[in-house]
Amino acid sequence: MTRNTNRYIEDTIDRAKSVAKSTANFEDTIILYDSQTHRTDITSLYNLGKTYHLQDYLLLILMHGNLKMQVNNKEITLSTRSCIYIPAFSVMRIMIKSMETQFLLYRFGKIARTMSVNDLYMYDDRVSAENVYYKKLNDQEYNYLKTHYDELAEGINTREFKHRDIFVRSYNNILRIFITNLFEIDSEIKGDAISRQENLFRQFIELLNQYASKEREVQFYAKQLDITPKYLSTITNTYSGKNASTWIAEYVVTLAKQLMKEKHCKIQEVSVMLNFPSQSFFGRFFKRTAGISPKRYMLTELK
Amino acid sequence: MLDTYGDTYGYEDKFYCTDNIRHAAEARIQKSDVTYNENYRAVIIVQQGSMNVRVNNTLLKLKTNDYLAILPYTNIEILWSRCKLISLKVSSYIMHDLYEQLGIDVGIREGFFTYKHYHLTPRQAAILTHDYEHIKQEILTDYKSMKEYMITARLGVYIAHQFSILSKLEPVSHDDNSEIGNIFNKFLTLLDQHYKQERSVQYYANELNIQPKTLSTATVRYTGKTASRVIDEYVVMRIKIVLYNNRHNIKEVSDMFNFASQSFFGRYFKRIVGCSPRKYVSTTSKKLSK
Repeated sequence: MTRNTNRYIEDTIDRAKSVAKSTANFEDTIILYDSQTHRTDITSLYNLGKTYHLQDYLLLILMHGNLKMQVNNKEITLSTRSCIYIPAFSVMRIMIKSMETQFLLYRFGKIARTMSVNDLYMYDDRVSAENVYYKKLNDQEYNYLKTHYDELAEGINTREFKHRDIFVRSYNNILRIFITNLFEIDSEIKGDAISRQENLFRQFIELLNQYASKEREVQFYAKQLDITPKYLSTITNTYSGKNASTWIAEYVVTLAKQLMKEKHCKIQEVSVMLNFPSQSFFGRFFKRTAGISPKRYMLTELK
Repeated sequence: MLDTYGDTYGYEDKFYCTDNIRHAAEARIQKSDVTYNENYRAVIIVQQGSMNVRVNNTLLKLKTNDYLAILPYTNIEILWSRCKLISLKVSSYIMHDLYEQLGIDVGIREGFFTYKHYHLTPRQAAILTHDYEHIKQEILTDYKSMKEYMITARLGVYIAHQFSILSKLEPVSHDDNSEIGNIFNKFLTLLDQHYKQERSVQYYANELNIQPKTLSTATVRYTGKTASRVIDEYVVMRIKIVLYNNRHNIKEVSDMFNFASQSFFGRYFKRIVGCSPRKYVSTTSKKLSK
């Protein structure tokens, strides 16, 4: 005998679409459900006592009533005018619900996250399934979410809206930035993200040690680290206030100075050892970075 | 330009909202106030009343619910105004970046030295005004983080509405059909196609089958600048957009615009902008927000 109660129900979009009518649906990536338009009850979307494995992100705003639910083994009670933000891949079960509930549900999938402007996704990456965010809303927060939900639904459902995709993407960003600020997700889990960047920064320095005498292109180092040159520059900027190309240039000049000072190499030799196409190119590179020409450096420093 | 005549709310030299403009009927605006800053795109929507402006030597009468987009390097002079208006001014680099991220093809002649004039319906004007109010609100709100993202996202909503509305409308035609007006328009179209390869007045004059001097006469008439200055400023604006995005190093940008050498590129840029490309990148390019 199989025991269905132990099984998770996969909360796919197809399932959600088959059990309740949505208020608005944008290409199956952003779907809105609420109790006002189609008299949908929250338990017709997620049956009482059944456990669901979420595939998408959920923002649930409880306008009226009470809900007791279990999210990732944590018991949460929501009352009138409160909101909960549940990351994708969470496990969720509604345990008790008061007679009358009214809600707004904003569901967005992984694709919606990649549609974001700028590097917003970096903040979303900090939302992991172990975290569940919920809080009682004040009037201002409640009205903000309610108005935006309505405006988004209206926008999605407006016919002949030529640039609906831009509208939806922008609205999705607005809501996510609002959620991030509402729950202070940003400050909470920053430590984790920094250590990942720090790791990349250390790897970059190691690579510099290894390749500085051959490679001076940011592109090369970024490729070795499997990141974009821009991101590499961001990382070096965060940790040293200099961008990657400045880092490389300064590192190479330090090497050149070492060669001249400690090994008493001639400028021509240094230029060859550091893989410069010509002595004059090396001279200009050195002067641009160090502020003086290699010749002058030798004269002043090595006397 | 309008900043000093109304209530202005700005964020980091990137976004400005201006409204509640005082009657500028008597005040003929100083010559130095005439040009919109080269680095900005601006939109004016007249909510009520009317105003007369001169844009690139063309006289425009704006009335209630009129929409005027002013692109970088466009000369605008307010001659008379008795109206309520809103004006949104955004750094052109932010705008280009946003267009790119949103996958909008800005298209030919959307670059600079031009303007777009439309009559909107009251409903259309109201939608854009609503979005404007949201942008202004975000500028005024204290955020713990990501304020710029929020303003940008709001701008995205505005852009979605604006493009959807304008795509259904025909711009009000102010075509200057004089010979010299035609030369100017053809020149801008050519410039937009060839700016990456050609920077000499001679080339463009040859293509148009006219004397370089005639070409300069046309540009001076519409922009107050010589043809070579117009070419230089346009090229530099394009370079700045690429540099702002910070996706290419200076060598790559130099090659992209067909400069003989990086050093020549550096000198060219410095002559027009006043600082080296490297310095420009370090001070203005896009950085990851904290």
